[in-house]
Amino acid sequence: MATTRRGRPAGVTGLAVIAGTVGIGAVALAGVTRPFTDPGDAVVAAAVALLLSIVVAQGRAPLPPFLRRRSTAPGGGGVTPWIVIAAIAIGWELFCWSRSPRRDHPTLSYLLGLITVHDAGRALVFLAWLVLGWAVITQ
Amino acid sequence: MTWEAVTIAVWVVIAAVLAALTWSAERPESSVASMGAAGRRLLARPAGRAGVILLWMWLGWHAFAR
Repeated sequence: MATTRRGRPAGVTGLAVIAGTVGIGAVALAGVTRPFTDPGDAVVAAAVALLLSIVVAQGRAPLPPFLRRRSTAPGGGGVTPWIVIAAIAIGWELFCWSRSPRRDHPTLSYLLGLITVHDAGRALVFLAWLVLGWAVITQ
Repeated sequence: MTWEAVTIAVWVVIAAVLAALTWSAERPESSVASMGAAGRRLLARPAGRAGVILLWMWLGWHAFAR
């Protein structure tokens, strides 16, 4: 089998390049879409469909290493501080959400909207969302 | 002080605590799990993994579609 200089199969590297190219294309496309439009729905639906199909394929079909789940041990240490800060953030988000006007009680969505209203900001946040999804399914 | 300023200040404090916790948990002698380790522990359970994937889907839908 042909391999790259780092010893990876050439097909896997090619697939990673294709996946990266598709990802960059999706990010660029997402940057120019807007909520409540068909293109906006389509780009999110395509990303969700791709991620779910990878999740279904994991363990059933041979996948390239960058799409497989890692077998890293969870690691030790307490998680209570993480639970507490998450509970505080969720509580504050719900409090803000229940109040109005939104300008006086900005939720995380509202603050995020100040960034995603711009094409570049929207593309950047979409990229972060894709990376987060990839990190979740490969753990 | 307006409600807007108070609300944003609380968000900034939450972000600062999160950053401090992340930094503190990465130290070798820390008794707190790192953010990655806490996430892996959650994702190790099928229900946790399904919940996080559902949350990820909702986040994308909420931010970019609706």
